[in-house]
Amino acid sequence: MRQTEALIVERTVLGPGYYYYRLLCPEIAELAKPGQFIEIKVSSEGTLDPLLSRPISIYRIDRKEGSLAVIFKTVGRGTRRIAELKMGNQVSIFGPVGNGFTLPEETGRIALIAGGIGMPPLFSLAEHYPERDFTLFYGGRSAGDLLGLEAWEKLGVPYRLATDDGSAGFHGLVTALFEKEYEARPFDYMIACGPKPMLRAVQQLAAKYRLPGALSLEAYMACGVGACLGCTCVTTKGYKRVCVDGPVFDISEVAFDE
Amino acid sequence: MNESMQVEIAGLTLKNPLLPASGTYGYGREYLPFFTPDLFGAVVTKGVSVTPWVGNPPPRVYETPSGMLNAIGLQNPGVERFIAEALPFLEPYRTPVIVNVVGKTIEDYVAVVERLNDFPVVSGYELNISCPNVKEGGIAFGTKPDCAFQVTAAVRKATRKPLIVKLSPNVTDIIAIAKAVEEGGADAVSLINTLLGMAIDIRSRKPVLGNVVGGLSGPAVKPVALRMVYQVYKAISIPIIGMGGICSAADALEFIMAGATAVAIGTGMFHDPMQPQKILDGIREFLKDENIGSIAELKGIAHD
Repeated sequence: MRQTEALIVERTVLGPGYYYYRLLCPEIAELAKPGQFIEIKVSSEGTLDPLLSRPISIYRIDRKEGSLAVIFKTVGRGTRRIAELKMGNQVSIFGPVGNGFTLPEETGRIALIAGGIGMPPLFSLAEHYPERDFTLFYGGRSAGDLLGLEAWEKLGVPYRLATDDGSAGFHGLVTALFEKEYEARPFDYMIACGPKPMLRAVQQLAAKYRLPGALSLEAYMACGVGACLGCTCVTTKGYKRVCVDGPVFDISEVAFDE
Repeated sequence: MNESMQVEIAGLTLKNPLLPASGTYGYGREYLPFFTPDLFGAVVTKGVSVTPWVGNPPPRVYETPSGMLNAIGLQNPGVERFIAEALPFLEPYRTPVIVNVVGKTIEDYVAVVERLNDFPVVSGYELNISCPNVKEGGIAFGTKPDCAFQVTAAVRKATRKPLIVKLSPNVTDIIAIAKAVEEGGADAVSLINTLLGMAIDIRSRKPVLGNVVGGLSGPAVKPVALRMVYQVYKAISIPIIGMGGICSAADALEFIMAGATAVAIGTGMFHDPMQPQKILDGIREFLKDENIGSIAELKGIAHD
């Protein structure tokens, strides 16, 4: 984990409320693994509000350039402040934080299940393991919520889309789309990142089909280093810290409340 | 060692007046990527209880304007695992270690202290009688002067090591509590713990925190904390460790001028993990600029 002033070398608005930033931060890019995140300071220099840094998932790792890319959605004061940063600005960040994804040697056919802004960490994973057999199931409210499809195409990972309003792909839940495809041709491994109801449904599917896999969680965080115990989630082995024990957990380990 | 930064508190000589606030720094390991425990004048650990405490259900933290709410619930692995895991980690560092002690009964506090007394790495204790997030015990001791006196006196009998008592701001009269723990044999007081607060999620129509209520910390509470340090300083003769929203050298100096001998940073460390270093640099710079030989000269100076 390192703290640094990262230079913003690219900023793109991907859609209403969706932003792509590429940050020059060689020390952190050197250490980063797929599934990890960075903490971005959101208050401007010399001010204290918003007080806490925001955890943002890593979308792409470019060691050669020494850069990390992130994609995020503006949901509150913190992310709106990040979105105000321009190309050429510097921003204080620290990371990489978290355990990241660790794939077993043999994974067979892997289903990546992304809900909305849960997509970015799955992209970093797929890009890191070019030899594995991934298929992306990507769900969102509407076509405009499904981002970076060209990049998935370039990566050669097939994708299936699902939207709540039917404006792109399957009209319905991404987990229902997965189930349809699974019945036609099974998968061997599942990895998901997205909203809690989707993760819970993915966990139920994994149990139904007896599939191993992983879930990447999010949580409100304070320290971002594992000290404050503020971001804990409930697991079968008790409370665990999402920031450093996660954000990636075994698919059967997370205990969702009803 | 830079002698201008040195302070004495509860019989301990601290190389500088900055400590981490209990609960914000774990047992020190997590901040190693940024600094070692030796940065601080003393380390104050996360609360330790006799048996493991699981803590409160999530969500446990939530940001508010210029501050945050927390309801961790004093999750900790208990004194035996603390001895097995945290003490060996802290032992090689030279900075004094103050163990924050939590309990549900007076016997709980005494048991933790008695278990730790023989470890030379433990330099002293801070009794948490002020956590707003634990139903029985904790806060109950901190809101009634006679209870605060009893727990302090009982622990005083159990140890000769420096004894600090951390006070709650969620009381009608903090001076009465401060006087009670002084009378009970405390060598110093820490103030303030967090202010009780809450937040509601208007979409779910429910409280945000799993514990419903939580403790407010950060810059939002600083004026309240500063006022309490100022008032308590006039009422007692034992030293004060001041805390509550300290995020800069200027904040730290305000607390010292109000009467604190030492200060602690907590939520400010969450704002920026390098903030403790920046605060120390800033205090040194202030002393140099103002031609002040020792930080101790500034203690309580706002009262004169």
